[in-house]
Amino acid sequence: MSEPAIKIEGLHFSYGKKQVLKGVNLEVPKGSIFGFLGRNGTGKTTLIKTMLGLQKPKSGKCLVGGMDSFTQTLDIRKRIGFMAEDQQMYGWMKVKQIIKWVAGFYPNWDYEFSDKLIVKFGLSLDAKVKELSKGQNSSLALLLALGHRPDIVILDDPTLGLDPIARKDFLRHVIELLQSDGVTVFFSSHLLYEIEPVADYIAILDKGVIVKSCKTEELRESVRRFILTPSSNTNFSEIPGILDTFQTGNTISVTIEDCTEQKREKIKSMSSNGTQENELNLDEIFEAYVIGNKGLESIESKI
Amino acid sequence: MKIQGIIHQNISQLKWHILASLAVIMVLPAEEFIVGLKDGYGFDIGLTVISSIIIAPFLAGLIACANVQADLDERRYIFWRSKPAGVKSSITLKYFIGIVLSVFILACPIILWTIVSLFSSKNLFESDFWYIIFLSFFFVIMTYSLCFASNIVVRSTARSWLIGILLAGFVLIFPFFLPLGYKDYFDIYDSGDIFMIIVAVSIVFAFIFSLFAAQHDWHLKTNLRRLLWVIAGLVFIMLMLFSSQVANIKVLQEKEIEPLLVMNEVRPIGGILAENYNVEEFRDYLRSGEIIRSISSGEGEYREAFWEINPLEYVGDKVLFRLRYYIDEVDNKISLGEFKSTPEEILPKPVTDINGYGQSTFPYNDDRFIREINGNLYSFYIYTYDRTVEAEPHDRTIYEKVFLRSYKYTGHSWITVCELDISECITDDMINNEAMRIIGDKLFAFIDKSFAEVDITNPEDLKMITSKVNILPRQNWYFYYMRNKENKVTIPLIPAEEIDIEERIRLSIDRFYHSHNMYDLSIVDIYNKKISYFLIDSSDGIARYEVTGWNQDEINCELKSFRKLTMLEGMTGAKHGSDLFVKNGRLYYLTGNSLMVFDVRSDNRIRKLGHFVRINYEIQDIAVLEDDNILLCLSLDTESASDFTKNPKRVSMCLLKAP
Repeated sequence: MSEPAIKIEGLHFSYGKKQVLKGVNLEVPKGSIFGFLGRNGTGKTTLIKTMLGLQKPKSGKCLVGGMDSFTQTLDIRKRIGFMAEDQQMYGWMKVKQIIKWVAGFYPNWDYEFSDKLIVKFGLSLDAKVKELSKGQNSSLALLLALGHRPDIVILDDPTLGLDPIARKDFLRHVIELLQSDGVTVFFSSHLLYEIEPVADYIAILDKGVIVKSCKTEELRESVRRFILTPSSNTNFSEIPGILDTFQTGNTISVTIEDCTEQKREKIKSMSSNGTQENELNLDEIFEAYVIGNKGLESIESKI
Repeated sequence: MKIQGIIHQNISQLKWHILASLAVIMVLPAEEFIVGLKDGYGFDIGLTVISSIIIAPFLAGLIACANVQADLDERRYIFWRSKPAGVKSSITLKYFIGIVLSVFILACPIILWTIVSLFSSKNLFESDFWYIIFLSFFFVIMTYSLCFASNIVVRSTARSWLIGILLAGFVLIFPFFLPLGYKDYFDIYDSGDIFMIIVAVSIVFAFIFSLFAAQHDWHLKTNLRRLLWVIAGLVFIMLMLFSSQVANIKVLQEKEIEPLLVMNEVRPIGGILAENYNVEEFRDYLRSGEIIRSISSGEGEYREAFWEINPLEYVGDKVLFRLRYYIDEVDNKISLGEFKSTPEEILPKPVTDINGYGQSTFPYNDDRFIREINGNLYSFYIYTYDRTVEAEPHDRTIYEKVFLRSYKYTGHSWITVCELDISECITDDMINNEAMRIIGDKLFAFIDKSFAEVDITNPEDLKMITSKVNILPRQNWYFYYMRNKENKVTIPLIPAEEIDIEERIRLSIDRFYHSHNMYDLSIVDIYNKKISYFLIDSSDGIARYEVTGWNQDEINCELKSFRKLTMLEGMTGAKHGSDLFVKNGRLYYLTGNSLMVFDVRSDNRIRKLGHFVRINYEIQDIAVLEDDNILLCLSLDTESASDFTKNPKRVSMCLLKAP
């Protein structure tokens, strides 16, 4: 297996006494589109800032393109294209001025490519940045992130604040430009339907730790929801990997990760009149991981 | 990273701030320049340039905040930091671009001033000019740096500007915290480079701190309340130091004194009958239907009332107040002890009756020039009698007689005990201009250009020792003021060979500068065989002259140091009627409602020790006690011209701790 594009080991970070990242471990394979999920305020942006070398972690290691993000910051940034959520640029600059200004930071800026992107995104070179629409602003930010042909692109909630059409356009551009190019894309979002169609890999960050990281397909396959009416001697604690349980009348729905044949049989044996097994979409899986109750105590007490 | 691009970006994003700052700083000099050019008044724009320069540090702070804020706004910060731009080099570049722009803004009025001076042939390049310019640039860079650092940490323009400016103010007063014994702002400037080092260190510190803070993205997530507390704390510290600059002489005790009114009854031919009333008595007097202030055109009989002036007179080692009381100072508390004298029923000695002549006395006020001799109180007055003769083009005043009279206090009144005719001092061109001083048992009475030396061993039997007629230059009417800022001054030495040379020099200098109260106070300090004297300069400063030598006729003096008053000191009092005197190596400078005390013996500098200000009050008189504590008689200016009793004057006695 080739070296991962991004490798994070035991990363801790805190703002004063508030611990934000509590031992994050993550590997982003080269050439993948990596969906990074998490609710607002779980530490997504903090992790990205650490990856960019903007802040020093309390402990742990963060390698981007094989380089240490805190000691080789400038080298890393030359290879990274970054676009932040609701990116604020210099409103008083014209599009051509800001491109020229950003290009000045990169010795390998691809002017031909950036010219193509200008045409593709329908940007006017003489327009002032503050006069652009939100969609155009995102397109310009994407252009500025890609103009130097980076190996790794980090997108931090890039579609925040865009209307559905602009969001679709933006994603289309990302897929067209990056998927076929062998570029690693680290796509952070809290909008699951945005990530689902494009991501090869998914990681879910919750309360400062990665609760799940695997291929998207694997995730879809491994998480199942069972609906059953439990028999009197039911003990759900015998089943490992329960993410969520929910009771409606006599019926209970149980969401399980890493669903194996053995687990399936076990659940079926707990039902008094048959079991219904459902596949979940990414949205539901995310929900189960992030807000699922994981415990069974409340349900057992009701049975 | 392309430096050119960064510079362009920086300047472009600050262009409106630069234009606004230029407009603010240039408006006054430009207006003055245009008016000067149009009206031809010599084009001197110096004063307006200096007032504009004062705001330059504030504008520099604004430029710093705008400079930082443009790039360190949180979302924009991530935008440029995610590019391969080294934060240290970017911030360094940004910092120096801002400094260049701030200095450019400051330089604009100075350049205009320089050009205008070339046109107007003004001597711009005096040392003061360079000093102001040097300090201004230094302060601008400091304020800029502190605001820059503050904005990196506090990412809000207004708050960080305020904090930066407060920090700059704090740095300016920081030397007072150090154990350097600083009390006077001029100590800082005069005592070498310590202040400059502090400012330079603050600049370097602010710069290094900015680099670290930007690199580590340190920024405060404060709420407004916490920030306001911090600001309030800083302001409080600054105000404490500020007040210690303005009024740092401690008041040990303040005692209210009953105000008194004086009613003068002026009679047609000579003679003024003065009577004292307190407010209640005066009310009764009004009820009796008498008319006050029926002032005629100067002739005839009239009465006038006014608030009594409350003199503090040195009598030996004690201070006498309103004639009747000794100021008793024990354990830093004052009390008025009534002067006890042995009532002695003696008959006043009849004085020469000169009817039909105009009469004037010196000292001009009552209760002055009192001495305790052989356990009794005596006072001395010069009486001058004149008549007016018709002449062309103006009537002429002819002085006929001059007497020195001594009075003795008998417990309730003063009676004449001796009269000495010193009319030989009269010259043909004499003007009414007298002075007196007692040295040992000799009294020197100056009558315009002559003087008489009188033995007062027994004040009831005054004896003329000698008189010198028409040998002195006429006294300077400009009390204590420097004339034309001369560097070297020659003062005639009074030919009074009987007294010690140092006292003779002191007498000559005091008399030369028309020390109207020279009988008590002196502007001369004699210390370690060095004789210095002090003058007020019309441009709000105090000059120290040193006696460099003398011969039989003259004393040679040279200007040795000059201390300009700070703007704050200059604001605290009226200059008219300013008073200056030296006692025990301390210079006392009274300006209406303020008193400043300076040390004049350390390092030959004029070093401020303390300042006392009482707004709305007037310092009526001052007495420096033996322990250097200061006694002041203050009065609140509530004088009413029509009815004194409705709004009585407030008089208080203040004992101030020696600063």
